[in-house]
Amino acid sequence: MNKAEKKFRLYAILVIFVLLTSLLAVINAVNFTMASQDADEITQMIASRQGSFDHKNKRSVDMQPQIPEKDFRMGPMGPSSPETDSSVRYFTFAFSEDGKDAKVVAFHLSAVTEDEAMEWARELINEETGWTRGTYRYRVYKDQGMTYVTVIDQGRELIASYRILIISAIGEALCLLIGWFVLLAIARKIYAPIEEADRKQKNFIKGANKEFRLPITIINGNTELAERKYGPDDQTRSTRRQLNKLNALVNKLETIGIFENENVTPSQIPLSEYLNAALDRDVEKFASCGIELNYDIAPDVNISADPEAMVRVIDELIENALKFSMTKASFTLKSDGGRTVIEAQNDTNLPDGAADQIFDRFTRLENAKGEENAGLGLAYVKDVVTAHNGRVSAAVAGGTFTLRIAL
Amino acid sequence: MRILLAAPDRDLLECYKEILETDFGETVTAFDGAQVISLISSENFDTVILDHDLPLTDSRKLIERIRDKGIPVIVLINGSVSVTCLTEKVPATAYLSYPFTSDGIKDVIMNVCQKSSSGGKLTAGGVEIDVSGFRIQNGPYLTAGEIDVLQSLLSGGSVTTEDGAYISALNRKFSEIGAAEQIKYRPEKGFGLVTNNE
Repeated sequence: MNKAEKKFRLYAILVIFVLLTSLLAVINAVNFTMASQDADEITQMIASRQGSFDHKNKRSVDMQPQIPEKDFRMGPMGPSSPETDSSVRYFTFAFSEDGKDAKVVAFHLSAVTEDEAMEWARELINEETGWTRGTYRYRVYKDQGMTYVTVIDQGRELIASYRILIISAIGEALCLLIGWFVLLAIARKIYAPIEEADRKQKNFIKGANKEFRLPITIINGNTELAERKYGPDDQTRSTRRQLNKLNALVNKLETIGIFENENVTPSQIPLSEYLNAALDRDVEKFASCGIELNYDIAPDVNISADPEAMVRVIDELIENALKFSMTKASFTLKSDGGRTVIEAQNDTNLPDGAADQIFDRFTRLENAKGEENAGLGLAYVKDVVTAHNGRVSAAVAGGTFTLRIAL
Repeated sequence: MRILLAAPDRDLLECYKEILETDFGETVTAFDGAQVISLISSENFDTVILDHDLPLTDSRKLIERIRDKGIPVIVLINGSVSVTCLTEKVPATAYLSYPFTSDGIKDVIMNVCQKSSSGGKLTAGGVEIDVSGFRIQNGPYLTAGEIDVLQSLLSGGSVTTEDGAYISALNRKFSEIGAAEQIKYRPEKGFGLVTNNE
């Protein structure tokens, strides 16, 4: 499975997760709000009946306008039904204005005694409406100088809400699991042709590279023979120049996207030594280009890697620094938390964000001298680092190019 | 000097036969492995130049057979010389990568023939190397590039990271025969031959 496929699956499952969670969160929030509204409606219904279903006469409540009984929502969308009177678990106490005298208006609750309920109601005298002791909804209202406190038990209704919440969470987890497996099948189907196209592209490049090599050799030989027989002239010199260009391209093509895990021939390599030796070798090259070169290489850093590939990676980093540095370049090597990190940095004329596609094949960037590269070197670096299970990143910010390899 | 040039392309054979005959002497060409086997069984050659993908043969076996007769084999490959050298898919005396030039092939032939006719020996620590036979005494074969690296190290010449593939191959071969010698980079001194207990 390739990285793009993994990414697709991850993002797709993330989108499904966000959508499902949002949907279920809205459903549960609405459900809980409706449960609260139902409770409020019932307490209001009780208030409109003088604090008890036992009172047959409706009456006004000074805090709330009298609500005609027909306005209470009935049926599946409302809390009222012909059984409401007998199914609501509640109590109502009426308190004198100073709160000292209290009388039971209605008591249909088993969880507390009348005395406990009275103390409980007394605590709520100065409130209006809300939840108390977890699952009880209360309403406080005044009528003819008395303060009424009605408390109803909404435990069963809230348990139903919690059940919906738990079922939602389990359902979501199941949906995600099923979604993951469906995505697995879909992603395979989507990415199989892409992988195939990528494989064909690599094979084509690999094959074309091989097919170019023999004709170039023969043209080289025939040019040599022509020059030997008739002497060099403008035509043979031009042929040689073009052959040199083709040679360089073919050698670069060899490094293209065909370095994968199976190409790694690992052995213990002294990376510190390789880097030091390569940079020592090219100090003068940097100086002759007017570039100040600094390097800070941690000693004795050894890694298990393909020596040939790593040497070429180092050379590509150096070539890149030589080509794109304006006045200074630096290299550091350190061991950081079990990982070996190579960092190459230089000042550059490239604009911020120019490094976004720098590892893509044939991404050609122009340096300060107007020279273009073939767009293959850093693609090769990425292939090699990835094949060694490493990570490579690059960024241009504020005129500084930074390339970081973690192995 | 007699050279056998074998490759599956007649244009290449025709062109380089003429160049090699001018520069070195008689050059016999072969188009496939069967012709090569027949020619090396009946005639003498100083060097054999073989394309890696020669038809009608197992390249590895053919190269081993020619080297066992004491004839150096230059193998023409598609790809990196050092990668081939490291993985040693074919035990050649030297590798030459397409596309090459007449100067390129000339340099390799001269290097191989000069070593082959030198009759010289090299001593790298406790390891004896038969230069003309391109092999460690009673040990594995070496390539001309590996012998160049050893000669350079022993004569105080410079060896760079560009020789990394040859260095790795030599270290592997030294380990194979149980030698204590290894080529290592020494800070401020460059690459050198050291024994493991140093």
